[in-house]
Amino acid sequence: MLLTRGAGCGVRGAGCGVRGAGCGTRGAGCAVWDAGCGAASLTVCASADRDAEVNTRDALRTPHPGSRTPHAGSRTPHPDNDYHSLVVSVTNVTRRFGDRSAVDNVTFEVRPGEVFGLVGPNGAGKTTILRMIGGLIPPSSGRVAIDGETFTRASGAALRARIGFMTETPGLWDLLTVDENLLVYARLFRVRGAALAVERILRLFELWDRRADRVALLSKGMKQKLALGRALVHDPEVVLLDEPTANLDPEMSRTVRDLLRDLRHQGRTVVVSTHNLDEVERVADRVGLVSRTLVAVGEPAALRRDLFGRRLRVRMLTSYPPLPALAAVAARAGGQDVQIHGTDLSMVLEAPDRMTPVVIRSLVDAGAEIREAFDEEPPLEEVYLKLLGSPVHGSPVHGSSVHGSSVHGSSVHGSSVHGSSVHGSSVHGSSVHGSGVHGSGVHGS
Amino acid sequence: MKADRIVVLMGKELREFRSSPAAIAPVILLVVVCTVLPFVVVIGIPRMTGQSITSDRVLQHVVSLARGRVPGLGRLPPDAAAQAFLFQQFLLLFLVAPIFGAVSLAAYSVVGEKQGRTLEPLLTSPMSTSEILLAKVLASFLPSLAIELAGVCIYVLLVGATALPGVTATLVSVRSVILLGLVGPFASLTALQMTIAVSSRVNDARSAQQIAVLIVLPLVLMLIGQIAGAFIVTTPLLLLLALALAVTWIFLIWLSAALFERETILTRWK
Repeated sequence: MLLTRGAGCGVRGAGCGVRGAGCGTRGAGCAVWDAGCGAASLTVCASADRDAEVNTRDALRTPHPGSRTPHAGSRTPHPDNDYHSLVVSVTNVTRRFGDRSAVDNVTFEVRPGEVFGLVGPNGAGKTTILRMIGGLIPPSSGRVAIDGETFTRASGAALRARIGFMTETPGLWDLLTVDENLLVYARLFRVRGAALAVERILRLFELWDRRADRVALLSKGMKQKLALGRALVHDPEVVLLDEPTANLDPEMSRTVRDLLRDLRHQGRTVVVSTHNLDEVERVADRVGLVSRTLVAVGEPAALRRDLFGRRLRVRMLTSYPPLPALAAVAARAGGQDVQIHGTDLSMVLEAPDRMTPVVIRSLVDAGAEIREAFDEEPPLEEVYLKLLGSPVHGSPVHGSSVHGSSVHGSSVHGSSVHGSSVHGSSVHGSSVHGSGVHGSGVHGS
Repeated sequence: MKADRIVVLMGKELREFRSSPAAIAPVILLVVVCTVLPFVVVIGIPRMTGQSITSDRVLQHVVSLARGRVPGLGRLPPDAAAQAFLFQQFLLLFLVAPIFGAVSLAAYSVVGEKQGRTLEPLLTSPMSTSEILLAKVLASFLPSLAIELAGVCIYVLLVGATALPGVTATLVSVRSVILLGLVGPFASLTALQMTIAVSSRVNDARSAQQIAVLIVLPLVLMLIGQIAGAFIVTTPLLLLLALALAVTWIFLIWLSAALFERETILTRWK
């Protein structure tokens, strides 16, 4: 067994990814959550051979000869992972409570080895969607399937056994101790070597020293960690997380993010609901923006590009030559919608890869002293605010991207990037001042 | 139904009871009262007043009726027969006491899950609704049954120490075994299952506990009716009663699972 934290990237300890002694491959009954760089790592065994006692301290220190050293930031499942991943499909799902429709005609699919982020305001239906995927409540219409199988009376228990669901509230038994809480679930899910699995989880989430304490004595953050551990104790193939980093400190939030990357790396299917846009942008392969309906779904970068277009930002060392003059030069060289932000020029290019050198050359020829040039990447927050910050109009968009006016009509364009909401956000580390990326701006001269 | 999962959840419930002795205290208190009360009536009061219990004409009449129907009474002299009859009737208290105690445990075990918001994670496990509810019923039933049996043992020992010769032997009979071994447990299980069924629909434990009256009331009426001489419940009748309670319990397992609406619990329990 083993658990490692951090590795190789200067987070904690040394050496990436340690696989524990006594555990083999998945096929032999062990699922291994390898350590990525800076990632938490976990090994959960599911066969009798796990019962063997393993010196945890040694396991923490000694790399297993067969350990993998995956890249935590990788967006593609590890090619040689042997994890049987499940696809989650939600098709035309509507969920009504009485007269009220909580979820309306939502369709999306989560691929094996993908982290899918569900983002939306309070009451948008995120938790309801997760509950339907987890088989807790049935849809009023439509179909929710895990690996093609829907929840029925006969299949429900078997499907739930393959899912790890971290609910919105920790829902821990206060009168029981920390390890008893996990042990009950490990046994309900028939994890062999349950005690060992519990130990791994507790060490992973730094709760081992508190294992004998009653849960009532834990802080909110610790309870949150324990609830997350409970969702993972049975080594599930599909992981559903409802606000996993709520109440967690930044360090633990980072551990959770690393853990999500590890889950993806192993080919597990993860659906995470969150308000934390920064978090979802960092870990999710794709996001679904939900506001009762599915407003948009796609990769964060694709959503940004489709919504805001691809913009080039050119930062000058000085404001001489005058920026309006340089803006005019850029416009003549092919720049569209050229805007001035302080000493920056921002513009849309039709064929960015081909046009960027042309524009830069024109500006240099015009006497511009260029400090840097880069593609603008407005944070996901801006996509969120643009799509969900005002009442949603029009029909929901399904598929991989949002296509301009078909989503929001005229509200996509113009100066409606919600001025003050953009303050403090940053584009590539430099602040977006005042009116933000799309403020009414200064056009041309 | 998967027995291993039921056992796991029962274990969790029992650990919670262990962590909260106050939950078990009412059961113990009731059993203590049930153990002491008969001795006050049958031994204490006659000694204090200096009058034999057979001086009561009504009791004389009832005991004479029971002599022909209750095994063992016919062989005893009048005083001993009266004592034996009364001690046998007070055994019924040991059916009622654990029901009240266990019902409070059972009601809390569902409503408590609601208040602690712990039911949703439990519903994400592979356990079926029937398994969850049965585990809760059995977890409440077992400690109360253990306390009841301990109380009965102490009761019989005390009867042996204080009653007239031959009285104790009448308590150790097939009738008592059916009463305490079948009627009592099935009455408890039926009351508990009803309580669990109701507790998944209500917001507080007290509302759920009230349903137990439906089971306790007939048992109390049986006790009063026999002591008053209105009727004597014979051994075959007790066997039938046990069978009826067993069938009712099984039906209630199904009914409570049907009444347990996951959706309502998840979405409307606040």
